[in-house]
Amino acid sequence: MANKPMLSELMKTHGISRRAFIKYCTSLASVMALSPAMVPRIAEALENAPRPSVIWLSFQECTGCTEAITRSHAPTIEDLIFNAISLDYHHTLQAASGHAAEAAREHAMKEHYGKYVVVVDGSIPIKDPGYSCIAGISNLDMLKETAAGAAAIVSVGTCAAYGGVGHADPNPTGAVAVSEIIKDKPIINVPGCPPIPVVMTGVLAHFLTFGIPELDELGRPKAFFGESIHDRCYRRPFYDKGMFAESFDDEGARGGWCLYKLGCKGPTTKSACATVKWNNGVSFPIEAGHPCLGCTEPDFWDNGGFYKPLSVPAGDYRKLGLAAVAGGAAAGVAGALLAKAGKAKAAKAHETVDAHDLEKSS
Amino acid sequence: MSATLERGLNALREQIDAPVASFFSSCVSCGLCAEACIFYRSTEDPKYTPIRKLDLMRRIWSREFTLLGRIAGMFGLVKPVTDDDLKEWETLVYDSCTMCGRCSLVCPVGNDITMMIRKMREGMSASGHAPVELIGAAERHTDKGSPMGELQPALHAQVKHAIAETGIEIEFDKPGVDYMVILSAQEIAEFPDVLAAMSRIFKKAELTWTISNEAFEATNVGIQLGNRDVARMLVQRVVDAAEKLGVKGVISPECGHAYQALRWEGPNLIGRPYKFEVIHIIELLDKLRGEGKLKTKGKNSQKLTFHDPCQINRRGGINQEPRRLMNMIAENFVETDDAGTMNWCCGGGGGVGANERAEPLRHQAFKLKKTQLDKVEPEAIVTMCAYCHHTLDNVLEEFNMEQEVLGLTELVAEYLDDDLNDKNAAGADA
Amino acid sequence: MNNPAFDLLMWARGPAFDIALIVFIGGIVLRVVEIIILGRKKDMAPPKGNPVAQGIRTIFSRSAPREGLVKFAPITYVGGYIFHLGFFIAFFFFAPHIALFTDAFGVSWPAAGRVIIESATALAVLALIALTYSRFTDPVRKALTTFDDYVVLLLSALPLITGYVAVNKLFGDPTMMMAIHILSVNALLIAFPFTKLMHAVTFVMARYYNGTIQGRKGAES
Repeated sequence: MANKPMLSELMKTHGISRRAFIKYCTSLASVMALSPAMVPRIAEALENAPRPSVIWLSFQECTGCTEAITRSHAPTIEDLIFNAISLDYHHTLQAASGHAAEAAREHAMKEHYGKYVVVVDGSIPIKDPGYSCIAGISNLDMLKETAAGAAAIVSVGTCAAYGGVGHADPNPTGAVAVSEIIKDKPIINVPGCPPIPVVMTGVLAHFLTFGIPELDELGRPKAFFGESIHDRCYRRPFYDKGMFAESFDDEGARGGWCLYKLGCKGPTTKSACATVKWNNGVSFPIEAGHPCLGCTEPDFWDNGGFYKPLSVPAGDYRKLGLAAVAGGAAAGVAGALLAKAGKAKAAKAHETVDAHDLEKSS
Repeated sequence: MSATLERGLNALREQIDAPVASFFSSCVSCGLCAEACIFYRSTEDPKYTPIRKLDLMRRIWSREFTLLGRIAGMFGLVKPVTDDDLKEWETLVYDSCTMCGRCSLVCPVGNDITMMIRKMREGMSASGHAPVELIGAAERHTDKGSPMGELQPALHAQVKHAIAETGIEIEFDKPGVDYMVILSAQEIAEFPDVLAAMSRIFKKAELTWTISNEAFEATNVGIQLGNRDVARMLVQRVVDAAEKLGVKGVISPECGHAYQALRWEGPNLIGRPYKFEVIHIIELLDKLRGEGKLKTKGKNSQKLTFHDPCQINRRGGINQEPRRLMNMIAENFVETDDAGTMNWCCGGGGGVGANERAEPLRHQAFKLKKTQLDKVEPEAIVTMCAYCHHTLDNVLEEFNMEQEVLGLTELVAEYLDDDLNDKNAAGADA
Repeated sequence: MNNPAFDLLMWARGPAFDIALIVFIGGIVLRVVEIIILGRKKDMAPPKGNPVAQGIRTIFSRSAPREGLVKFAPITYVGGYIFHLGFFIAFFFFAPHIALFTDAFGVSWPAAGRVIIESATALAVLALIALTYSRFTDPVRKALTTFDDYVVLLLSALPLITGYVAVNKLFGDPTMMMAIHILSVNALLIAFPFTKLMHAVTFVMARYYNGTIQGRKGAES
């Protein structure tokens, strides 16, 4: 595996011109908000750096992240990225199966100990590790085992990064994120449900070129997760002008107005969807008319409801309000009756006076 | 039986009802009531802020009439009211408030502070904290029929005089007539010419009337004292006499608190509606004017202005009637600023005028009225309350102001188109 | 891994709001029922005007000041109006707040643009500062002011200030600022039944009673 052809040779065989390759490196640089001066470095790194071994572990996941990363707009280039790394283990993409597949993983771990990159998608169940096993090995064990010799871990998708859908209330499997289990290795979180394909490849490219990118307090590369959807959304002018869609397919919805009132989580969600978009920049959920779910954030499944605006209380407040009305009324009646009783007592104790009874006896 | 703290507190408890509760709940401590109060505005002393005068009642309401307040009271967050508190508040509730009602009109949340002062006084009077002069007046009124004591001889003398002057008969205790007239002690003592005026006007309008020997006094010191037992007893006298005589109505004279007591508080004090109507003399004169039964000749040429008695206009609802009458008989009637509903109190009402301890304060409070009058510079001030009349007479003298004060009924009678005027006019020409 | 700012936001609009709502609604209903049941004796004096009509009219007419009085307490009058208007505009016409009513009652109305909302908010806060200044310096206000007044001033200001900060990302993480904003609103809701904030509900009764008492006499209110 280590002696796969270098990228430059692959490019020649696939008929990718150098010009097209540099164009790709340029777009990658701009997507990561790097200066154009970085482009040669990216090109050089991608072309010439030794191709590290990558072990992709899939745990409690839906395979959406893999689907996304392979649903790329320029398969040949993305493919190249896969050829700039040595993908030694991946359930969906590998040719081997069964014992042979596990053997490939173990071999890569042994041969490149301390230097391979582990990519994880899916959460890890710890309530009963038996909930998710591969070849009889629990996710928990496989992760610990494989991470031991990793140079870095990339948690791809919100499940691996934060627990995702498995972690959502009531979390029956005890699903947790990679970072809950591995504490002694650098972890890059690339959340999203799924993450944007070019974000995933961009992070990998950055890692190959410059190492671990600058991460925010949730372990996400700031290049792709530094701004909120709200601050980059093309519908922001409508928010500022007070023009909101009230329901799906109403005048506002068809007019492309802000989707805050339909539950958009844009203001609290950091992601690149509004700028980088999906499918080679074609669109993203808000542009398609659907409010942002907030899928790059931890616990987004429990954020009160996809169609409940951020400003609306998350609980069952209507019932509570009615209960409070009843309780308050009961207490009010009790209080008033107490007061009236006091007043009646005072009235009963009333000493009818005439003008001669108004002085105090000294 | 003598006054005690408990009796006072009980009296206050009896007074707290839904309006009072809503008022205390709504007060936001904005202090705008102070800007309307003559006592605050003339002294700039914040202790005269109207709602502050009610703090003791507020504490009782909070501690005993609200669930949350009860709990707060248990933790010592709301203190019970003591006798010392009542003593300290006596000057605030009696000396610095004429119950003029301006504060009730400016409160942004709609508190009727004046009504609450009236209620507060129930607690004060029952606990022995009312001013001695008011207690004295109440005693005299109870025992001798009038706050000025035995006034019957004076009344009879004045009636005799009026009969002689007008040649029109005035009968006491005549049953079945249209109206029973009641008079304020102030009128009988100081402004008795109103008898002749009424006599002539009623004759021309073909109204029959009488005065009751047992219930001729209109003033109700019970209102100023703030004691419903005294107030009720005094109203009952008038009601009994009127119903015994079977009159259609009782005429409430030019007296502020009399109108409040009989027309508005009375039925609630005695617990039932009357079998007769109550009409203020000026209301009646305006009614007669409207019916064409009040004809005047000639007009007064002095520069006149009008002073609205608080209990009759702002607190009583009689606003346009005196003005229509003024326009009938005055050539040069000029209104002051704030005329009508927001007119400034003369400082004499609500028991303040009788209260010797309050004299310096009342003197200061006149400043507001004085400013009004100085701007207009009238030759005479017309009013429709004998006590305002009396107060203004005195205070104008204290301030070396030269205006005269006139009563509206008398002024109207002066221009009445009747034989007496013709005779006088003829006499003048001759 | 979790986002503490978002967790706080979820707590603020979840359990914390639930508690605040119960205290708010329960407390208001308690106090209003307490007042109404206390009742008042029927007034037996024959009315001259129309007490009920005037009572209702006064609920609205008392919002305007009596002629000539504004100049005697300008900060209180002007500050009071600006604060209330600013607060109402910022609260009732900002779309995320309208979303609250839409979710609760199914009603909606047009939202105002951010410029209007932010101007209203800023003016309201300035008015509160002026009113606080007045409470410290003006003798009448000073004599009347209690702990209740200061607490209410602060709790009224915090939602305005924190809301402005959150929307404009003036400082701090926006999600955290939004959480703080909602927490400040919860504090206001909890304080409501225990303080003079009740005037927002009971002023209707107070103005009505004033109007009906005066209306019976045919006097102005």
